[in-house]
Amino acid sequence: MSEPLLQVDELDVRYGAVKAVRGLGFSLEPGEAVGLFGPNGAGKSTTLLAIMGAVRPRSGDIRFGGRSLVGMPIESIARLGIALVPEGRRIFAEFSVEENLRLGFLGRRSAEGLQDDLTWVYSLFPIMHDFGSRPAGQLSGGQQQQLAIARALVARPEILLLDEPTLGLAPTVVDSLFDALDEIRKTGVTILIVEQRVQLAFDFADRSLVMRNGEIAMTMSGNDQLDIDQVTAAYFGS
Amino acid sequence: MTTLFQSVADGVALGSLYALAALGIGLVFGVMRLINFAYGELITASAYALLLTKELHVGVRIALALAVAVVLSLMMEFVFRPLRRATPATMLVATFAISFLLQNVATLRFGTRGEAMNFLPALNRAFAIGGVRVRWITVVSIAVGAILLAATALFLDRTNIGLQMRAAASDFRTARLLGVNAKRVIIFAFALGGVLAAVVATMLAVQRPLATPTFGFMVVIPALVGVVVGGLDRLMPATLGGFVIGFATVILSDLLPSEGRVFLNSALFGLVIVVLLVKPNGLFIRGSTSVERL
Repeated sequence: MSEPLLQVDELDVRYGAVKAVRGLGFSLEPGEAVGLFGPNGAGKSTTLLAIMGAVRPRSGDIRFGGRSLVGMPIESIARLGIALVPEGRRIFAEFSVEENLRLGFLGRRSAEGLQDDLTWVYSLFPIMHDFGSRPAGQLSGGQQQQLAIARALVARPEILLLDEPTLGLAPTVVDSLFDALDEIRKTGVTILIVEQRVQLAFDFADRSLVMRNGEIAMTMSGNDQLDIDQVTAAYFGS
Repeated sequence: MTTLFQSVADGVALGSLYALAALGIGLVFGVMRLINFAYGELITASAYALLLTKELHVGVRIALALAVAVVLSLMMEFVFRPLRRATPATMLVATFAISFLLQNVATLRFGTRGEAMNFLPALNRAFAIGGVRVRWITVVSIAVGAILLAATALFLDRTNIGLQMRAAASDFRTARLLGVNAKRVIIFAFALGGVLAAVVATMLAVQRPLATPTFGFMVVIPALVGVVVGGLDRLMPATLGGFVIGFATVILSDLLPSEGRVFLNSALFGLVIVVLLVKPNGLFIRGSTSVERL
């Protein structure tokens, strides 16, 4: 097996006295899709934010391509090739769709191939092209999520982190979103997805991790059958 | 009628200056959530630069006034840097401290009586339009204010760094997650604020020819009130608020009988209180304040 693209070791994150993540360790191999599940407060979003440098670990290490990310400014990590689609989309509602996408360009390591990437993103989400001049806040929830993903993709990331991308979306929209994610993974982008729709994300992922109380409670391979009882036990610790 | 026209012209001129100061304050507030009370000292520093360069060519004097304000503004950014994660109250007190420190340095060096800057006095001459006498500085202030406000709006709207500044003002963390360089946009905001402070100083230096330690402070207080009245959370309403305060100051001053002018500030701030009671989010903000600030 090749060297992990991302390696998280003994990661500890605290919010004051609250231990959000404790001794967390996992890795992402190049091109794989990994699901990260768990109940609210398990530390999933904190893990993604720690990878992006948005929360500072108390201890432990996060290495990307062999280089430690701990202590790096958020924007430097974004420019290394890791993009986050944050929970709640966090699009700039008063900016146009095109302006939101332009902000995504900032994460690119090189301007080379920008037009090709943009063409590909437009083919994946045609609405981004059709509604380019429209204020992003006027898009539907599903379209806003598409914009959040498109904005991350135009940065041409090596790793795409997705934090609950289907939250609040209608089932048909969710299906088309996962179709798009399938297309994205075919390009070789490594994906780490935090998701509450466990079955859907489990089917999508090569590997799945269940977190509870800031720790990995269970690891599942994509070849496994999803055992709901086992996952429920991992979720609630019973 | 002629008096009304004259009042409106003077009101627009003073409003333009307060609007520029409000814009400078609003730019820094947008990216740092910092109300910089020491902004007035940038204006004062520019005024002293004009004072100390009396013998030089007017172009050089303006360039030096600009340089002093920009450099001092960047020095302030450097001082505030360790406080970026501090509470808003801590940052506010720090700006008060810097403001009073700089005022006292100016007092020690130049005294409190004020010294004449002798900057473009010819612009105080008036010309007549249909019986109304308008000073050239009134026209220049309106023109410079309009051009700078439009240029800043274009800069924010059309340039990449402008887009990044707007994004940082709207949602700082998300902007950084996308790769917006926090340090760069903050430095830009302070530098631009410095440029605007210098422009305000040069316009004011014509009308109020004495450089004093509180030269800029006396502008920043009403400009800050304007920012709050307009809507602290968004740049253009805040700028408009600055304009309204300047305009209202002149109109109220003309409306009040001469013996009542000592109550000008009382009348103005009374009006501000009424406005804030009716529109607590700001005169030009609709609905909630959780919106883009630039």
